[in-house]
Amino acid sequence: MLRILLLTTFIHLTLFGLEQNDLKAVFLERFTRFIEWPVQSTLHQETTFNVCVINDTDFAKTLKNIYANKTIKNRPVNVINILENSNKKRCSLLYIGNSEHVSNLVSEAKKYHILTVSHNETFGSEGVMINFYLDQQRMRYEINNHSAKESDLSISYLLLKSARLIPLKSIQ
Amino acid sequence: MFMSIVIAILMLYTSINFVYRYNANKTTLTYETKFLAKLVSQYTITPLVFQDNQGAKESLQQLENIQFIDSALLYDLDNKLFASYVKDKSVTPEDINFVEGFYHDQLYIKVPVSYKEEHYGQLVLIASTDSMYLKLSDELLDIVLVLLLILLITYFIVARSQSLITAPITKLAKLAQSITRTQDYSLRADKVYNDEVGTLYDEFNFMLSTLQRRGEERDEAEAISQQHQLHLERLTEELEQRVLDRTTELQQSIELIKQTQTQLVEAEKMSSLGNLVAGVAHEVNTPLGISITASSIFSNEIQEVKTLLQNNQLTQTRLQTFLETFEEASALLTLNLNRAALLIKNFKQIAVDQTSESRREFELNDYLREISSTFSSEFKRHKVTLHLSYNRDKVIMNSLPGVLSQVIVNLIQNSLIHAFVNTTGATITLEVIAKENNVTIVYQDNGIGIDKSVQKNLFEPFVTTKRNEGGTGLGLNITYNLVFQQLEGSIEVDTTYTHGARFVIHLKTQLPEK
Repeated sequence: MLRILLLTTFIHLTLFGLEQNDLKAVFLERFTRFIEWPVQSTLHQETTFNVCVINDTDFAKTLKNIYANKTIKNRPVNVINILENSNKKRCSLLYIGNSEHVSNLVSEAKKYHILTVSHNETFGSEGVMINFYLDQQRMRYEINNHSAKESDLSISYLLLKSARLIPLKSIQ
Repeated sequence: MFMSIVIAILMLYTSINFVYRYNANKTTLTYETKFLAKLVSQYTITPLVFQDNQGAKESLQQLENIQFIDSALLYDLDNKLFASYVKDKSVTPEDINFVEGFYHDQLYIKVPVSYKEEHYGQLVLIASTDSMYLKLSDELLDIVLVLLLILLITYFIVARSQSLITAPITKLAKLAQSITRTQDYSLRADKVYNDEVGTLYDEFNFMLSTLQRRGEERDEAEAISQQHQLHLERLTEELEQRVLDRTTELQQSIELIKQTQTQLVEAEKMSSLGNLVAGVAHEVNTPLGISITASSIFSNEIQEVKTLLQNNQLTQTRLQTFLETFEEASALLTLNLNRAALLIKNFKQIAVDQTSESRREFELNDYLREISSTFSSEFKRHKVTLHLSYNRDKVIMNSLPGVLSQVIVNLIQNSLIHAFVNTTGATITLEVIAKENNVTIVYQDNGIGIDKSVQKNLFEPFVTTKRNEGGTGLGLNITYNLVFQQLEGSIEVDTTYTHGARFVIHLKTQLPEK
């Protein structure tokens, strides 16, 4: 019920009484409104928008529920739990719940032009493109535009403006 | 007057300007506000999408730097206030459903918030018109100040031109007026300044001099023209007089000529009459001579017989001889006296006819015979025979026989004088061809004929081949006139006849009553 409310209305949202996951899930779709996948990505061949989740089955469940009858990029949403070393070629969005080898995932994502999202303290600076964080009970996000650019994903400046930008760190 | 026009124009300018600027300012404000709204709305997209009221509010807060924005209100899709910014003035957010425009002293502008065809809400900006009016009054003040300055300058210019331009011109106009009134072109304008006005004065004075001179010239020309006019009139009079004189002279000349002509005609008539008389005398002389001879023989015989009787010597034979002689003599006497009487009678007739122009009936053939008989001695002398032929025994004419006789006499005389030079068997023929109402008389002789050079002008006056021998050259002219005018007929010379002279005369048998 609350999820439906969330989907159909724009009530002044706070974290009180609402699941973080719900919020994050909704935000995912919102993000995509401001992001363009490159021509060479698999998104354009896929009939579904594939959201791949690694190590966060709860979030995957939330996603499934929320996007049951919804579309992202005009495609019905397909939420898949995958393993770290699964083939990610067909993923358009990769949610990294937890991982020991984020950098690998980040490189793979770059290869396949996948939008990476996480909710972690360090993942953003490690190359994940959009990283959620909490700021005084408000759900915020930081964006690593360098990473996005390397994946040929273009993020609208409007989204960039509303986010905390992760500065380029020289990575070994 | 100039000043009032200037003032009127400036006031008009000011009011137009005011209206224009007011509208311009409104438009500017609207535009600026709208632009601002569109710009700001961009910054409210992601706040609306990600439910970030705070972020939205912070964006709207940036408007505090804009003087004329009173408040900004951001509404979500449900038309509920999402975020707002309000300047010091407290403004109650109005109902979202309003039309953009000016209300009281504020401007309401509404713009949609959308991104990539996805609608997220509405942004309302409320601008204050205070600044607008302030700006307007500032501008207006500027204008008024400028106008006053212009007015001041204009006043000085007018005042200056008044003395420099208007006054001199007025003076000039007054001068022109007085000149026109008094017709005194000797007046001149006093030049004071050495500028354009001065030039005007100079030119004006020059014009006056020219006018003056022209006026004098014109008067002169008029005087001369009048003189010429008089002269012309005089000449015309003289000319008319001369024409009159000449006409009178001509008329006199014509009269003279007419008289002369008449005289000449008379003279000719006299001459022909004279010829006639001479002819008569000549003709009568012969029978009278014979009569005298007879009577003298007669008286001699009587004397002889008377003596013999007295002496008783008269024999019967002698008496017989005497009676025979007496008989012969008396017969001769009777014949000749009758002859003479007849001649006289004929001549008398002709003479009467010739001198009086009375109209009477006569028989043409007889008359022609009578005329020819008056020439019998002449004919004998010149050895000329006259033949008379006619197609009718009796041709009764009612005309002027005297005139006809003159005509025939003239022709005969011409033949006698001109035609028969060394001609043997000289003949004159008169042929009468009578028709119903007219008669043709053909006169021809077998003489030397008429010279070709003379034939053309034969009937013209003073045409003669015997001028030095006393010919007047009027005979045929008179004949011509008599035939055409008196007898109302025609006479022409036959130029094709080569055996002598040939004339064809056409006459009316009945001359119409005059």
